[in-house]
Amino acid sequence: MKKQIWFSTVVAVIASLMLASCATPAPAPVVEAPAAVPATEAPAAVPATEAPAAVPATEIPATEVPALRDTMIAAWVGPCCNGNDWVTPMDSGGDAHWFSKIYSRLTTFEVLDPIKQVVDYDSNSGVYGKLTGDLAESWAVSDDKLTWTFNLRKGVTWHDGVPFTAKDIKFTVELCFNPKNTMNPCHYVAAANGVVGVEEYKTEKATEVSGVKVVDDNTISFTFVKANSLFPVTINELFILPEHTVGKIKPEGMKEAEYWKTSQIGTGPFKWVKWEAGVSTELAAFDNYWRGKPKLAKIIRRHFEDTAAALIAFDAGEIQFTYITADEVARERENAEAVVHPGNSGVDNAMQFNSTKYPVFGNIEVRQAIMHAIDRQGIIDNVYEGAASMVSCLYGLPNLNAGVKPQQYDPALAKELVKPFAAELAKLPELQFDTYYADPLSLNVMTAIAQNLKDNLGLNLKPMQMTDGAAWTKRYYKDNASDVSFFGAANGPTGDRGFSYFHSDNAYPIGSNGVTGRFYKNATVDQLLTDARADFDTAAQDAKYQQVCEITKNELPNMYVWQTVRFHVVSKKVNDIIIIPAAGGGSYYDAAELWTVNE
Amino acid sequence: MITFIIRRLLVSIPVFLGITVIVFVFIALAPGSIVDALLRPELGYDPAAEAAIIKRYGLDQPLHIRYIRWLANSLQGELGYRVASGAPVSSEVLRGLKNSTTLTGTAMLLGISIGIPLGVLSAVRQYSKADFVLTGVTFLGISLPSFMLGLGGLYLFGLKLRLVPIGGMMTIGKEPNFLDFLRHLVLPALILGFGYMAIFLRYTRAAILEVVHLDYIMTARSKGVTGAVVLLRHAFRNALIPIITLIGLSIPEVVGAAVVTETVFGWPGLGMMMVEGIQDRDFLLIMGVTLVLALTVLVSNMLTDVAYAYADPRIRYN
Repeated sequence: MKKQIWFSTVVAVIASLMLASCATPAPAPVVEAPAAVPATEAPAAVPATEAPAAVPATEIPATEVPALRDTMIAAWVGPCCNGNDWVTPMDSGGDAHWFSKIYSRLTTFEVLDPIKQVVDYDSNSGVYGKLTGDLAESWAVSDDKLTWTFNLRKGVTWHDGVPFTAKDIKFTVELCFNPKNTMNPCHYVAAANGVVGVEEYKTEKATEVSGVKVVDDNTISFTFVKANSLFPVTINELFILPEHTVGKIKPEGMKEAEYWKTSQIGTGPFKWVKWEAGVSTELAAFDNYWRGKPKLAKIIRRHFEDTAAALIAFDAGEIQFTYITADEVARERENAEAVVHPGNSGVDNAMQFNSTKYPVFGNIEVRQAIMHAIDRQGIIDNVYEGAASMVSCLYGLPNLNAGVKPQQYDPALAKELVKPFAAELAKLPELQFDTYYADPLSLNVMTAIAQNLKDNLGLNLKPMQMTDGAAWTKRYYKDNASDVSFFGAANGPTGDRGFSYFHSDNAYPIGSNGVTGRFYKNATVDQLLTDARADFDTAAQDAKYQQVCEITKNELPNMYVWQTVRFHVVSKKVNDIIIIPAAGGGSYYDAAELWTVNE
Repeated sequence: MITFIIRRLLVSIPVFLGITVIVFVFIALAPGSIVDALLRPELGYDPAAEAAIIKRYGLDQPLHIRYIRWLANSLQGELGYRVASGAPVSSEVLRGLKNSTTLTGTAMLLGISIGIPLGVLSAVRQYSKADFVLTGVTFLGISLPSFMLGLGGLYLFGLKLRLVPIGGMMTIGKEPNFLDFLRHLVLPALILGFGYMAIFLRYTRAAILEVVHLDYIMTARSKGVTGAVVLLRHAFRNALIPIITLIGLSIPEVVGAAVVTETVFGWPGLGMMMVEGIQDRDFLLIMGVTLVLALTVLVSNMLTDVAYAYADPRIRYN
């Protein structure tokens, strides 16, 4: 009898706990995405925005008007985002898509074709279209091509009602360059590096950046040391901050200021309400947003540490969008309640064979042979299931790589190319093929590459996922200790990205060209990159980047194999959402003020 | 006993310092740093930004100087700020501590209150059907990885059966209330508790079996003492020492060992915080969490020693 009582008690405890959980699970909504990749843009005065077409996610009979929720809940997880608890808007890296709900920039991009994006799985789907004004209404360059002047939108206010002016822009730029500012690195201000007076200000020889001039409340100009045709594009990820609030915080305590956690304000469609560490961040509609009052009353970022848990929450209807990896796409496309949004990642995958440790890889013929020995299209079709596309060089955008064809899979040619080096290659030991990508898909891809190279060139590569990006960075860049590496490289938003990877002025550790003790140097490429930056003729500029593409394809300083597609899955209950999943979070107009969520 | 406690406290000081030194050195020796977390390789290399970060976090100083600075600040209650949010590490760690003890404490209570009685039952009914079933359950509880149980539990009870919400501590967007909190607590607590139950069941069974055939038990039975009294007053009390040891060793787990479960369930405790700290190379946060864990280990070890004395009058600390 005692045993029965005891068992009954245990069962009762468990049952009561389960009963406590039996209330209806809360549902909700969702949103997300970041990106990269636009084309270069016209110099002369540019008229601003008209909202691009939004994506009709829900099919509703014409006579039925669905009830709407006032709140959307989403997971900003995956490669888009720094992390749930990064509450300051200017740390480098991701989360641009999240902070674009709160803040605005000078310029931004329209999404080229958001409707086509959800049905077209080509990696160039969903790329950015026209550069458009955000806080800037128009912009123009001076006759000497050195000064960019931006005419700002009138009537824009901060969330607390104070008018936005040109002084806020100058303040933001100077705050970002202020060496005492603990919110550094303001990655997105790098576009203004060539402005007159920046170096003096950064080294505290000047109290202001002299090249940034507030002409009047609605006009600001940037004067460069050398012409920079791409500035309106490259400045488009810099969030503008309010001088009247942020200016009260000492730069030395900027990152740690309570302000970011409790009361930060911007000019975007939603206002900061609250942040609960590890739980959620809540925003509310800003009624006076210049594009119009948002239709949603609230947007909530629910914090997830684990992307798999976020996807389960999505499937259960608790959130309205989350990031998914390519191997989850097929399942979610079967989900009648979901729409998969693919988008250009803005990131190439590349390989680097260490020619310092193994000089045979210093021969262009060997590197070319390696490219011909890998069945890239086969890997894309069978391992990525189509969620990638081959690239011929760093540039994935058609206007930058036009006419440059990728090396095709040709094992016979590969074997022919390495014949003079057969003896050296035969002596190579098993090579560690390292990466910081920790997902199963990347392992499968690397295994396929290794198998191709073994079959066609007799190379022995052993894939090694380091699961720790920081460890890989040290091994690859600082220690130059890798044998063979597989990594990602941002390929946009303009051809100027090549400056950091290929220009000899940017040799590591000054920039991202090469690793310790080894970098790429080609005088022609240096000149092309320098000239392209100063070229205001878009077609001529593209032609220069195409030449860079051709040369780097032939010389293979890095071996760019493909650019991947990334995915978000969005509930069909969400209407009018534009979302492009990509690396690091790019700048694009996502029409957040128009989003609605059906009950 | 008082002398013993004071002596243990004094010995704990160098042990505590030793733990912090080891963790500090390990963090420093591990590849990567805050710089790598703040500057993403895919976005290019910025040497000026790197230099600024190194200076700001004092990474240009020798290791021993950095440790002494951290220790001096910590003794004044200044644990620094998180890399991600800039929030004070001290308040963050306290928040994580509260959430972790709630989850893991509940799980452990469940594990102890179910595991120990079932262990006794399993021992008393050795080789019975109940024993075989319980032994099987024990193996499952010990051998199934917690991420698998967690994701499986979310899928089954959250997605398919809709009995529990999918992770988190409360329903986002609604006013917090206790019932809602319980709904979120139940699944991670049961999953963690299942593992604890298995361990306690196994240890209890083994401990009881060890004493149940000893002479003094036979003597008690031959004197006509009832089975229940023999079991509870003689066998169980003598089996308590290994169980107390196990409980003592498990107390630190209440604070920060549910790393995987917290991560899967989005439960903002110390375990999840530790994962975030490691990802961000946030040595101040890692040290803050380590500080709490080290203190818990030392205190729980002392409490275990004290509990021994009460469980077994032959043990005295003089």
